[in-house]
Order: sequence, then structure tokens, then C-alpha cells
Amino acid sequence: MKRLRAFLRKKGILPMGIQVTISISFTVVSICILAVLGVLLFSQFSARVEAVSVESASQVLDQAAINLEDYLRSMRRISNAMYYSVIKDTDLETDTLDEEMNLLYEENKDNLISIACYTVDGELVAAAPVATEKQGVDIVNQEWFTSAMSQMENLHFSVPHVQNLFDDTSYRYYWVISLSHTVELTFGGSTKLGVLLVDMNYSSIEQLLSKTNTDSSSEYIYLMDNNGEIIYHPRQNLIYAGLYSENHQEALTYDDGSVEETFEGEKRLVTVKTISYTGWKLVSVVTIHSYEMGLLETQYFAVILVMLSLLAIIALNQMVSVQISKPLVRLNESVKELERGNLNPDIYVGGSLEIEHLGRTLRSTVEQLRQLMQDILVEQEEKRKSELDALQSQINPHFLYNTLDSIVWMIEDERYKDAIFMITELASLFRVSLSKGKNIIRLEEELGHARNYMNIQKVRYKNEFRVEYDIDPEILSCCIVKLVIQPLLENAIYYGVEGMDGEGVIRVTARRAGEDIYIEVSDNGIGMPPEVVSKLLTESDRTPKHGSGVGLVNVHKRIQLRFGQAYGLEIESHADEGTTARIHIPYIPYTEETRDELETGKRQV
Amino acid sequence: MKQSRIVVTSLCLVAVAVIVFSAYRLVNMGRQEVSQEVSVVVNNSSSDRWIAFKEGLEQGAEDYSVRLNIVTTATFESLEDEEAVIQREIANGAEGVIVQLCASGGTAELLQELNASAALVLVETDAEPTETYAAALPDNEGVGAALADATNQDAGGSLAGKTIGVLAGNQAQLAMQQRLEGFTQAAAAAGGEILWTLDAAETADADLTEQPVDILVSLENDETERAVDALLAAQEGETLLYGVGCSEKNVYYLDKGVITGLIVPNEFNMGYQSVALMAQRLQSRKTEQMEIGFLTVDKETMYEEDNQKVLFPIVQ
Repeated sequence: MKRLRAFLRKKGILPMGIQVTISISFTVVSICILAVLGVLLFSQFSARVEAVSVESASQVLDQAAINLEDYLRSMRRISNAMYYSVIKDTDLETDTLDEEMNLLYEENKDNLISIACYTVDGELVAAAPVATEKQGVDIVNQEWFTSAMSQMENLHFSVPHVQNLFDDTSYRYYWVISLSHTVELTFGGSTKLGVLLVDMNYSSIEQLLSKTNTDSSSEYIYLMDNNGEIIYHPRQNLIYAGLYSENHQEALTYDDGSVEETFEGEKRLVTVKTISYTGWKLVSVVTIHSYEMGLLETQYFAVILVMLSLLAIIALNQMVSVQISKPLVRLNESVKELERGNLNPDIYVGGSLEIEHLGRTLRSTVEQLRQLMQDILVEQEEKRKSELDALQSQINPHFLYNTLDSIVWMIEDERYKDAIFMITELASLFRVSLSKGKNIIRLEEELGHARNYMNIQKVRYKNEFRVEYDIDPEILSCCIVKLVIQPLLENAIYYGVEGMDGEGVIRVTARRAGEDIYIEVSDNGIGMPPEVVSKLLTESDRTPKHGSGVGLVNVHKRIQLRFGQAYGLEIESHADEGTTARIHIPYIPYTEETRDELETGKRQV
Repeated sequence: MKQSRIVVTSLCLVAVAVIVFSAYRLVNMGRQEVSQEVSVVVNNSSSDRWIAFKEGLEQGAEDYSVRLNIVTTATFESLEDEEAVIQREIANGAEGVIVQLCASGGTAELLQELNASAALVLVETDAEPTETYAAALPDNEGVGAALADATNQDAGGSLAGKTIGVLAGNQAQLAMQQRLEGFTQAAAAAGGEILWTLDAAETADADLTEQPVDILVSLENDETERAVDALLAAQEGETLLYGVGCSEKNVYYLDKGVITGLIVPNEFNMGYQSVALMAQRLQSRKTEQMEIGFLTVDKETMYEEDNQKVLFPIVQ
């Protein structure tokens, strides 16, 4: 099961939609029920058909047996009537049997060929109809004669044979079944044995049985004697010609009743009925194939019904599954809308009681989520603002201390002009620092702030270094976080050009590259070892040995807080070659609107 | 959703296909298979000799679902007469014709033409060239030889000094030629002397008692009947009659002792097998020749169980 699930998942079939699942489940269950019902009903039906078939074959056989027994009984009656009513009462020395024999014959001539009486020597005593006896016929050795003489107390029925007794000048020969019986003939008071022969017309039996054999190939009746000799068969000539075979020798061993047998590869239902007195066996053969053919029609009809039911069930299943799954699908669509980032989706509320409850709960959950997110945003903004304020407040005391210290020294050295210049520059510096409380200013103002700072530092360092500016005028009116260049310049002085043997150069460049702005502060100082560089932007609690005391970490963080993680500060430094600090910010033209968005954190870059 | 649609549509299509198929089978089950029409053209079709043959034909027609039309014919005067009858049957829609040819020689073109327009099965006699067409026929040379054997046996194993007259039947038929050849060879081997041989056309006007013989032999049913009539008319004489035949009259006179020995081809079998071959021809155009057995019977053996089944076929 697990493997199947894994396979279906691999093929993308699982997981399935709720409508598909419901539809497939209903359909599979319906098909199973229909199939089981169909098979059960059909097997019941076929068992019933088989039973009816057996019953019908048995009834036909019984009817044929009754007819045959009636016929044979009437033949026996003729024989008995002739013997007990005529022969026993007639002395053949003075009288003849002709009149009574002819009367009996005339009464039954439809079923009879002849009645004849012979002495034990084979001499004809009387015959009806009157006919010329054939010359040279060996009567006493004919089968009917020997049978009668061998068991004198019984009536004997022969197998069908061609009568060989009388001459018929119309060239006709008759197939007969001989009923022979030993009789006592009276001649002048003394008795002598004789044989009474009633030759039944074989065609009467043939007609009697052929009426039941309408379709002789798949359902038929045949008759055989107690030795297995076929008396009647619908395909008798073919059997005689060796073109057809019958399983009569096997059937001879069957008791009365039905037996299923396989003969020449064909399954057949054989029903046997023994005819009283003669011991003949009437056999009904029904090929299983014949009633299976009858069933085939029903089979097709049943298949059509099952398929129509299946179509109806599929349609019903579709309707039901759509009805059940539609509210869930709509609810799912609402959730998907939520997943896509829409925090104000139209949550579906409807369908059944449970789904309606789910919809309401989801709607209220989304409402709470939205409120929570709003709260988080406000909280974050406040946090960021306070952090910024803290960072800015970190700069001011350091820088002020250093500058004022320089001015004090100037005044003590009576360098009043320099002190005035310093104070003027410091004033400009503070104007920019204050910027009416703004954190986002024009780049032009930030660069002005940087110039003021460098002018102050140049005085302090007695022009030990030179500052070069290379600024793309296009970007002067874009937005920048205030007081981010000054710490870099401070760094360039303390870790670069301070104490250099030659003239120190600090270069400030600002350029635009696509939607980005890069501001570099590079020096030709002594540079920094890589381990120092790597710690510059990571150790926030690092206390610098010189300068304003504000680490480059602060600059990096402030830029990222305003513009995102993709932006910030990069440091490159090589020993004895110098250091480059690069500010990377997005290009955002300065307007009151953009400034306000950046200040409040509404604008996400 | 798409998968669901595919599954549902496939199921519906399968169900509809099964319904259409089942309905088609259901409708067609009620229809009877159209049986093919076959005509039977034999010489003098109302003759008694064809009774068993017709019985075999009808049994075959029932087994192989063939609609039979046994054409009523008189004795054909010529092959052209027979051809006209066959052509008429084909024109009337016969898809196959079972034919007893009244002449075998010069029939190649005719048979080829007939075979092209309908399936052809020959009975009793083959045509020239032999074994070209489907046929159900006895071993005619064997029939002739069996006649000679019967005469030889009755004569005590030698025909030396015996004179023989032969009614050779329609010698235009290959069957009669073969029977004559078979008889002539076997009789000669047994030392018999054939005094005269008469063709069917000659027999009609001939007085068979004009040149008395010890043994009169007939190679064909009608000739045997004619010989019987001649012997009965002569009333005296020691001529023994042996013949080929199966008509009730011939059987009767065998029983009466006028005919000493009779060769009886299994005509029921010939009729049945000819229809079987026809059914085969109509289905696969296959040509096969089927040999039909024959019996040698006399007055003593004609009532034996196996013999009477052939001599007196049960007419059902």
C-alpha cells in the first residue's frame, strides 16, 4: 500500500482533489457492488436456467417414455389378445386364425406391418395381412424366433431390422421391430409350440421420437436396447455410415437420472430413463453449449443493464461529489489567495454546517493575523526608530569632545583665526547633524557635512593630508542616511594617513551604477591587517583606539536598517597600500514623500 | 480535476462501447445465418437409385446449413442438355452445383467455365483431367474388380470356360470406363472370356439373349434393371447376373435370386459427403476428392445387420 502510494505520488497522481477522491471512491464502490450483484444474479440465473433445462429435458424424456410405453403396451396387448383370446381358443385342425388376426391387424395397421404365427418348425400357420411367404427363408434361425424360443415365458422385442418373411412385388421392404412370443398351438386337441410374431412398423417409433427432436444437433433423444444397440437416433444413418458417433455404450452403464459427461470434447447433460418391460433405455442428450447459447442473450442484456446503471451512477456520483466538494474547493481557493500574500482575501463562508464553521473560523483567524502583523510592524518600526536614535546619540558626544578639544588647544596656542574657522565649520557640522530631526537627507548635505568635518580635521592635523572629492553631480539629490560618510573619513585619518611619512591622500568618490549608488572613501595609508578588517563590521561592541568612538559597524547597521540586507558597508584594505571603505545604497531620488517613506519604514527596497 | 475528468470520460467511453457492442451482438443473435443455395443435377433424378443418395444430401444440408434444390431431370441425351440445366441453375442463383456428369470426355472447358461461376462438386464419376475438381465417388475400378471377384468366387475360383456378356453402361462416363477396365482386367486374370460388351445406347435395342452367355455383368444400376427384365423375359437359361446397383428393384431381384451378386455403392454416404465437400468449397475453394465405399452382397448376406443398413437406408 505504501509502495503504491509512493508510486502514485511519484507519478503525480497523488494527492488527489477532494472531488476526484469522492468521485473515484463512489465509482469504485459502485462498480464493485454492480459487479458482485451482476455476477451473483447471473450465476443464480444460470443455475436456474440449468435447472429448468434439466427439468425440461427430463419432462420431455418422461413424455416420450410415456408415449413409447403406451405404444409398446398396445403392441403387447395385440400380442396377448391374439394369443389368449384367439390362439388358445382355436383348434387349428378344424379352424383358422385368419379372420381374427386380420381384424386385429386392421384395427392397428397404422402401427403394424404384419402379424404372423409360426409352428416350432418355422411353418406359417396364419398371417395378416394376407401375403405370399418368401420361399427358402430360414425362419427358425431368425433372431426374433430364437429369442422367443430361448425364453418362452417372455415377450421379446428385437432391434430394428428389415423384415424378411413375405414377398412384396412392389419391391417394398420394411424396417420393423419384432415382438415375438412363444405360444401353444392346438391341433386336434393336442398342443404344439409355436411363435407369434407381431412386426411393429419402425417408422411409428421413429415418428414418435422424432417429434421431440426438433434440433437434433444440441438437444435430442435416442433409444437403445438393453445391450446398447441403437434402436432410434435422429442421426442414425450417419452413425451407420460411420460419420457420427454416440456415447451409447457409456450411457448404458448410467442409472436412471441425469449425468454430466464429456464426449468428444463436448460437455453434455445426459438423462436416462429405462422403458418398462423391454429394458430399453431412452436417453436425452442436452449439450451444455446449447443452453449456454440461450444464456448468452441474457448475458448481453445484463451487461447492457449494468453498463447503463454504471453511467447513471457515474453521473450521480459527479453531482454528489461536486455538491460535497464545491464549498471545500471554494474555501481552499480563499486559503490559496491568503498564501499568495493577500492579507485581505474574501474568505468563503457557506456549504454544510461544518464547512461554514470552518470558513467563519478561518475568516476570524485571518482577521487576527492581520491585526497581529500590523502590531508587529508598528512595534518593529518603533524599535528601529529607537535604535537609530541611539546610534545617532552615540556619535555626537565623541565627535564633539574631539573637536572642542582641538579648539581649546588652538585658543591656548592663540590661533584664534583657526579657532574661529573650526567653530564655524563645527556649527555647519551640527546644522547638518541636526537636520531638523531628519534621518534621511540629500547626499549633497551629507557630503557638505563630510567637507565640514574634513576641514576641521585638516586644521587639527595641520594639513598633513590632502582630501580629493570626485562626486557624480547626478546623484547629489538622492537619499542617504545622514552621518555615514564622516565615520569613514575619521577611520581613514586614524587608521590611514595619521603618522604617515609622506603626504596622505584621502579620496572621496560617489557614483551611480544602475539602480545603485557607491560612495567610496579611500586612503593611501598604512592599511590594516586582514584580521582587523574582518572584525570591523562584525564586532559591534568594539571600542576604537582613536576617533569618535563610533565603529564602522554602526554605519553598516544603519544603512541596512533603512535600505535592507542587500546594502551596507564594505571594507577593503591592503598593507602599505591603503584602505577603501565603500557605502552601497539604492538610488532613490530625494523627495519629501520618499524621505517620509524611508523614515517611517513604509518603503521597502 | 483534470485527472478526474479523464477517468470519468474514459469510464463513460468504455461503458458506452460495451453497450454498443452488446446491443450489436444482441441484435445479430436473432438473425439466422443465411444458408447458401446449392443445386443437385443428376441423370434421371426421379430414379429409385437416388433414394439413399437424396437422403444423404438432405442430412448433409441440415448439418451444413445448405439450401438444397434437387433438380428434376430426365435422362440426359447429351452433355449440352446437362450443361443447359446447370447454367439455368447458376443463373437462378445457385452458388454451388453437385453434378453427376453424363459424359466425362471433352468437359475441361465446360467445367472450367462452370467452376468460375459456381462451386462445383462431382458425384459418382470424375472428369478428365482427373482429380481436378472436388468429387465424392466410389473407386470405380475397384467396383469393376469387385464384380469380377464375385463372379470368380461363385464359379469356384476360376472363370475358365465361362462366357461373359458385359452391359457397360454409359461409356461416355469415366466411371463406367473405369469399372469396365477394372472388370475386364480382373475377369481376364481369372480366365473369363468376355463374349460381348454393350454400351448403354446399344443395350436399348439389343436382345441380350441373342448371344447367350454364362455370366451377364452390368456395370450400372439401370443396366442391371434392364438385364433383370431381359432374364425374366427369357424365363429359361442358366445365365447368372451380377451387377452394380442400389435401387429397390435390383435389391428385390437379388432377394428373389434373379441377381446373383450385387455391388452396392454407399449412396447415402456419397450424398452426405458431396454436401460436406460443397460446404468446404463454398468456404475455402478447397478441392478434395472423397472415396465412397461399396458392398458386395448376395441373397444370403443381404440381411446381415451391416449390409441391410446400406441396402435399406432408414428414411427419416
